[in-house]
Amino acid sequence: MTATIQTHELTRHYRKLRALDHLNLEVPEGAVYALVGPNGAGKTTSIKILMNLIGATSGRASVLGMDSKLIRGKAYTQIGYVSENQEFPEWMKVGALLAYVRKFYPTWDRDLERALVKQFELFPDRKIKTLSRGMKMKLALASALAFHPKLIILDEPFGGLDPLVRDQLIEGLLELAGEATVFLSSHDLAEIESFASHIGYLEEGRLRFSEEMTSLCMRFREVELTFHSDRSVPASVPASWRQVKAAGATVRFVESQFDEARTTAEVLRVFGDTKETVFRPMGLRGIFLALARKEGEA
Amino acid sequence: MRQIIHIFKKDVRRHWPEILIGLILLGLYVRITIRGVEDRFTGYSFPLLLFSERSIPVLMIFFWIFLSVRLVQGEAPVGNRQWWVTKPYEWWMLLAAKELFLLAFIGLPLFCVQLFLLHHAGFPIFLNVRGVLNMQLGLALALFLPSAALGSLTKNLGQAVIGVVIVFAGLWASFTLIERIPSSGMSFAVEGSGEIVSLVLLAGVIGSLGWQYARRRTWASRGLLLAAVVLVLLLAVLTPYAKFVERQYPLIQASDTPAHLSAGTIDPAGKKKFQEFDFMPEVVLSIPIRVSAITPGHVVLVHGILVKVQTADGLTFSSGWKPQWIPLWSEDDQKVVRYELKREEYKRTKSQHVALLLELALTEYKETEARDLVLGGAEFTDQRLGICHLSPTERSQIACRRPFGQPGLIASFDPAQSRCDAWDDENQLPEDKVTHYWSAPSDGDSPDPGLNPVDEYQISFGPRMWLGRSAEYTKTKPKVVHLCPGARVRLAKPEQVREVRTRMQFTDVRLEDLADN
Repeated sequence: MTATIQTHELTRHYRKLRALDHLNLEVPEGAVYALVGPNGAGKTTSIKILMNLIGATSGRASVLGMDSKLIRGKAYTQIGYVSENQEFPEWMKVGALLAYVRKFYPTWDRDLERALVKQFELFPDRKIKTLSRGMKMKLALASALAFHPKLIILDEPFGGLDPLVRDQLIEGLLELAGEATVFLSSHDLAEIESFASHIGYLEEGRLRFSEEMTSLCMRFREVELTFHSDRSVPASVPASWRQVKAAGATVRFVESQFDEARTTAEVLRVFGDTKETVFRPMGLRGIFLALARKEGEA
Repeated sequence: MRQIIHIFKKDVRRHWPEILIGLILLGLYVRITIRGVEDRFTGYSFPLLLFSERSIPVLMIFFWIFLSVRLVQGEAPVGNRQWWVTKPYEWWMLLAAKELFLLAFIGLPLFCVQLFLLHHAGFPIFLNVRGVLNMQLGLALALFLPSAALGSLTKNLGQAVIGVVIVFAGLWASFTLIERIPSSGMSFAVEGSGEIVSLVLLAGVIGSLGWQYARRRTWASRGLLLAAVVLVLLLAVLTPYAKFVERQYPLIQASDTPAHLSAGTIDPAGKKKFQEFDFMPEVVLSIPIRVSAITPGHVVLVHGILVKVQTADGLTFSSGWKPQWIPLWSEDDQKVVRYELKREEYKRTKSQHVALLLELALTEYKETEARDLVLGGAEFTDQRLGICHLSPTERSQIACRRPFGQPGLIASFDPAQSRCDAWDDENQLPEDKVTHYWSAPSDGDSPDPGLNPVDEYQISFGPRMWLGRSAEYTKTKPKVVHLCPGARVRLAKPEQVREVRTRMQFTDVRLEDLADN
């Protein structure tokens, strides 16, 4: 599978602040890649460099096979971009904006445009300055999807939106994105959990990990061991065990490299016989908390 | 091309109220310009008209700057949050669309108005189309291009206003700085300096505008513009003006000069002293010089003067070369040249007996294509002068209008050859000597950037009426030229003969006998 987005040692400084620190990232074609991380992690900076809105201090990036520094003009006919803080031409009406932007794209699909307007409940006669934030995001998404882009880049698209609008946007995005690769940033794990195929975690400008959602969920398990008598946490446990805690006859931990046979064997090696062993799948939030706490402890 | 038209149409939809206001202002400008011409010719003028005549063009220009900035900021190149920056705009098409808008809604209406003003003033349109296009080009380079650059380097109108303030403050600071450089007033002696400055500034403006549109690197583009300004300032500061004057005006023997010049008579008793203005940093010295031996049909222009003051104890000081604009004619025998000296140096030496060493930069012109013109009572058309008539308010003037500025001209009037009415003003006397009018030859008659292609000017002989106060000063009645229908005026085109420099010396003078203030 070829990479739609690729970065190599991408670094960006704002004076003394290192917003992005040697970022190496690959987004496969057709993926829905979510770049997550807390506010100020460097997500927007990464996206702006990819879109050639700002330059990198060092390193390089390619988007759709093009050096990101060369992305301008016609290159944008293949990329749909939506950002939470985009400044619209407020004086225009919704219909006029779509009619205006339509002519810039040779692949613009009028039927898709109509479908998006209908699905997002946009009113063509309303001035943009009278639209709510959610409506503006819908309009931005409609104008970014109607030309069948190869790549859709969304920068915090759901931030501050009410759940109904957010679900509408996600639904629209998934239905209509088609074969496009989607790259989006978010600081809210819950909103991307349901549809992202790949995930990357950015913190303080560094990419902590980047992998497929299924493999991430497969390798993390919450493990609960029940014994016949009270137990304490052993001095030495495998490195893949995180947050090991003992409470009476119960020991709990997070296994970050789960393999049922191997994990069972390691439990037996460390604790001996158990009364009961339970492996529970984890949500994205639980996985990130486990990762964050481990980092914090370090 | 389709993208250019597409953006253009969107801008028209957005800016139609401004387009309308611009056209209304232009209409008002036409109205007051035509009315102004009519009123001036009948010697009748309203204060309101005068006010409008001055304020409407200023208002119009500021409105055009405002519109240019707003137009460009519709797709502001500053910042990275604008919706348009991630859309498939081609930067040069966006820029071209903006230029097309300015051309269509400012340039074209103004072009039509300019042709109309030419027609209304009695000049053929087709013969002057090229000149009007040159004016438009000048206006585009001097006004619209910098306005577009201002719009492209600022994010909103507030920033643009701050930008304008910075530009004006910078200009004021630059002029103040340059004024302090000795001999900088003689910058015209540095051949091509004006062209170099214009080219550097133009390159800075075009470069920053183009770069900003192509790459949207705001600080780098601002830096480029600033670099052009700094380069111009450096050129202005580092130019050895005095050396250029000496090279442009080679020193020759006094006997070879186009005019024999010598020290005039200083009469401290006959000179009325003006009040001393201590707060002024400079003192103006009025230095009389004797003039003789100018070839008839020639005019010698004093272009610059350098005065060195030598005190008895060997101290020498000067304020460098100062520009002058004094024509010397064959009929002249005495003229006064003025020179500004630093007040502190003046105060230190004003009562001492000192020597003054004068150097004068002179340009000699001769008459060519000379001919006589007999003035008529009505308006008349002259190929060189334009359309003229005797001024109804100033009897010593011929009022003319002509496309694209007044021509280089030597005009002479000999009262002995004309029979005008008897003099009826007790406070003035009729001039009995030959008097002249002079305007320098322009560079290829290329029009300057401006609004009105019809330039009004006066061919004025002898002292102007408002100089009547000199009667009190000299205790004599002023002599005034009186032109009338039938009067004969000699007209000629000035042709430069040579540029030279000469020296003269005043010994044993006191500066306080020469000081005006």
